[in-house]
Amino acid sequence: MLNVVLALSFAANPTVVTLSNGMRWVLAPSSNEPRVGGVVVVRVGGAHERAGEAGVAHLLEHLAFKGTPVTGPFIEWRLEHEALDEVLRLTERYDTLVAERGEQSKEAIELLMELTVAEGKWEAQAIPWAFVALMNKHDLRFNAQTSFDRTRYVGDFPPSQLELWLTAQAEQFAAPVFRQFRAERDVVLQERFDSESPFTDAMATLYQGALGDDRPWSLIGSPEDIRRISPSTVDAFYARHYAPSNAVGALVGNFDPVQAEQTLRRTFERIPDRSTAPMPIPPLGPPKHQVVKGRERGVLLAFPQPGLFDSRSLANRVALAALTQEGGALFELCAANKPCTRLTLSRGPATWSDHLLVLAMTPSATASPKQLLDEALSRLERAAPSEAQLRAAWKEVQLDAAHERSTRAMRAAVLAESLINGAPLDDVFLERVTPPSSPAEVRKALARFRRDQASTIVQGGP
Amino acid sequence: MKRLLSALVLSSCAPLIAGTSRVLPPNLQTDPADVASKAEASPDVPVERLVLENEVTVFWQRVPDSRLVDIVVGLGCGDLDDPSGRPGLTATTLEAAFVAGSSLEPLAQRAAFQALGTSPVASTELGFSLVRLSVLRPDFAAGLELLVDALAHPRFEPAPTLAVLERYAARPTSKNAEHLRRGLLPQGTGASQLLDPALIRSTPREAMVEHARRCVTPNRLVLGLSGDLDEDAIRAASKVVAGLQKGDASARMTLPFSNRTASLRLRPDASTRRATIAIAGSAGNLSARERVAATILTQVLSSSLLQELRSELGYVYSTRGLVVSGAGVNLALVTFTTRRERAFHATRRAVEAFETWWKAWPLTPQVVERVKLQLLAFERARSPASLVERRVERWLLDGPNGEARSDLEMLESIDAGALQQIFVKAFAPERRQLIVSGDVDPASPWSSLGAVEQ
Repeated sequence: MLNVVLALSFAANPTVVTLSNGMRWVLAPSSNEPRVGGVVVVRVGGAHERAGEAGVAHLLEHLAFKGTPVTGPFIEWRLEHEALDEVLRLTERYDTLVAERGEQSKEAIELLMELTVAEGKWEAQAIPWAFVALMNKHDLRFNAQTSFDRTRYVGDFPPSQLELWLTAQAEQFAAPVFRQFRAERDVVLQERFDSESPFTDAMATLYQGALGDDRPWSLIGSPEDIRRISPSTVDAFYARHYAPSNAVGALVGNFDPVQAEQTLRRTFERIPDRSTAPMPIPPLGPPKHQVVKGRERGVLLAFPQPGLFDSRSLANRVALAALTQEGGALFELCAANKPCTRLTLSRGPATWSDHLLVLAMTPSATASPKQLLDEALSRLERAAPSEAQLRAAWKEVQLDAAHERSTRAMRAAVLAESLINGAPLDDVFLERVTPPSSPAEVRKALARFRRDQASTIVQGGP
Repeated sequence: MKRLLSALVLSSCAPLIAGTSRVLPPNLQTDPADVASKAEASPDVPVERLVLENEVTVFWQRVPDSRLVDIVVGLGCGDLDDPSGRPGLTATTLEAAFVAGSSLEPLAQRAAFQALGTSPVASTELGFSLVRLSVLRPDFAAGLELLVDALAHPRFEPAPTLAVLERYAARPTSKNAEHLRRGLLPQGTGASQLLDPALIRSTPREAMVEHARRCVTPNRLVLGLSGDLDEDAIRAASKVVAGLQKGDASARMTLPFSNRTASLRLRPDASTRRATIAIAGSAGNLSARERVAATILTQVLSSSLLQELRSELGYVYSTRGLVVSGAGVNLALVTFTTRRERAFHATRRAVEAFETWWKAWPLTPQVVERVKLQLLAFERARSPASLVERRVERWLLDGPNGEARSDLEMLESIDAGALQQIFVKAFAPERRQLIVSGDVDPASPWSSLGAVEQ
């Protein structure tokens, strides 16, 4: 069942640099690569948001690209700071007034005019795209993602720009300036609308049930909260989580590790550490069954899954692939003329640790959500993939793993997580941590997709 | 001098963002621009090209140590090749080829793909189609053979073909994308027709067989590969394409952008929950370099609109510039999304911006340079699979004798003057169309922006 695969080779074994402020970096040089991939992983995401601030982690990630006190002022920071401070102060006042009296109230309209004038004055002092332009000018590709418990800032750049990337990232980490706050908040709000599904609210209910506390547990925020997030809320969130000891970095590719370490000590090491307010994700609770109303009829079926560094995780992934590939129990459920018209999978929270796998299913016109749920659970009870199906499932999981490591930045992210989770750093495919499983182990893993393990939500439509 | 002043000012302020926890330590106040290297960017790894015995072109890039091989088959058949009365024929023919049997029975064919852990993904564009398959390195030869066999010997067995047609007819589509497409293309082709589920379900097998025969020929097919491969491995595996029969290179359809009287097409649809506005210009036939210039142009225009409409007036959420290309057709598009209550004002402001730009080209070299830098960075960091795919697309659009330079080289050579030429070609008032779709208020005074067709 197991194919021999080539180990991903590094020119030198990865090493770890620990800075005096507690931040750790994995350095994985490789002369085979033409460029360098880098990542800064902050151990914070949607799971760490408090009630009333769902979406703040994502908004902070957006604002981080608006520059710093060094990169962004048109003439000098002192002048811009005064003008920006006024804008942010008026923004807070305006938000409060709108909440109390409404957007169309006379006071709100007058204050909006004042805010608009202040924004105009600020614009004369700032170049909000300066940070992004600097990256582009020097061939640095960048991106960021916010997930359940991580915010990642990734980059890909030529070897000659290592110092630039580390300097810019360090300054961005230490002192992001909240330029164009209202516009960015609006963008985050629209992204929230764009990523909405008929099950968005039900997902949040599911996680609240599984994780048992009153956090929002919303990966993408809530419109009501996003509209109300103020600059001071974002700053407080930053203060609670963006500290060097709460972040990990990694570099993969064509760079000199000695030069990299020296540059890290000149940049990230100069950021003083700070105590943070960790909000650990609670362990998954026992299964729950709930009925909710929603925009459309549907079913959420959720199973606890071991995290990626758990030795059982590979068997679980193969089992899941066997269930969802063509001919598998869940695939057949949603093939033509069956009770389900659509099936999507999502993982949350925190795939690095124990998490929920959620199957979202839309019933066909002739099936009720309850019927669909019963049918799905029955098929899972009876699932018995053949040897050929298990081989195909294993191949699919190997391909997924290869895709997840196909870029330098992705490999850097895996190394960062390996460091966080105490896994060996020369095992980027996690083949020692989660060795390939026997068919018997995979069949045992199928038992984790049974009725007694399932949390469910039946969504009954409007 | 400015940086020295800034440094002095910075060092005297602490914390640097007063009243917050965000502090830039005094010994971390380096201007990143000062540490940026002036060294030349590292040379690009080239995309190689080889031509097989039966004249099929292969583009490839070696990726040492990669566990994956990314295969892309490009076919010179797209939506524009859908005959009138058969919208979606190209797309459904392609999808059915991989599940409805080949030299293998359908079940055996699907099992063979499943044994690779994956299955092909086909996408059909206006002027061409791409089929992508990623496999593990040891499965490269088998994967390529399965793909080519499916394309060269499609059976279109009834039951699996019907299943494909059913899925295609029932698939969720972006309503705004549909509205935009129908707004852009003139009537009279399959591509411009509504994707009618009943019509799709009733597609006769003979139509699919004939369409496949026309589309899958060596002179309309190009291969793209990236992975840990060398030329010998590629030639050995590519023997499977040697059996393809050379067919007629049928005349490619060219579409005029239509002599329309309406300059604003209004497609209200409250169910989409957002408004999408597109300003479209038809640039006709463009060379590869002109297409790159058109891409930069649309990015520059959308970036400028974003600056005006979002940043300054808070009107829109996202703007996008893109060029949609087919055989002899290039549509330059600047699109943006907004909410219902802002749609009319944002559109009016965008129309005013285009009128202003038409009268006096305002895009300074600095603006152009900024956007170019963004695109250059994007191009340089493309993955090997993406680079190869770009070469495949260019071959499909421009043929075997098309531009030899890479997109990157062409990007670097384009200046503001070249963009202005494309602007004049594409966005002359008589060639400009507005398509307004989605959650918009039909009662807004749209007719003040142009002759409306609803």
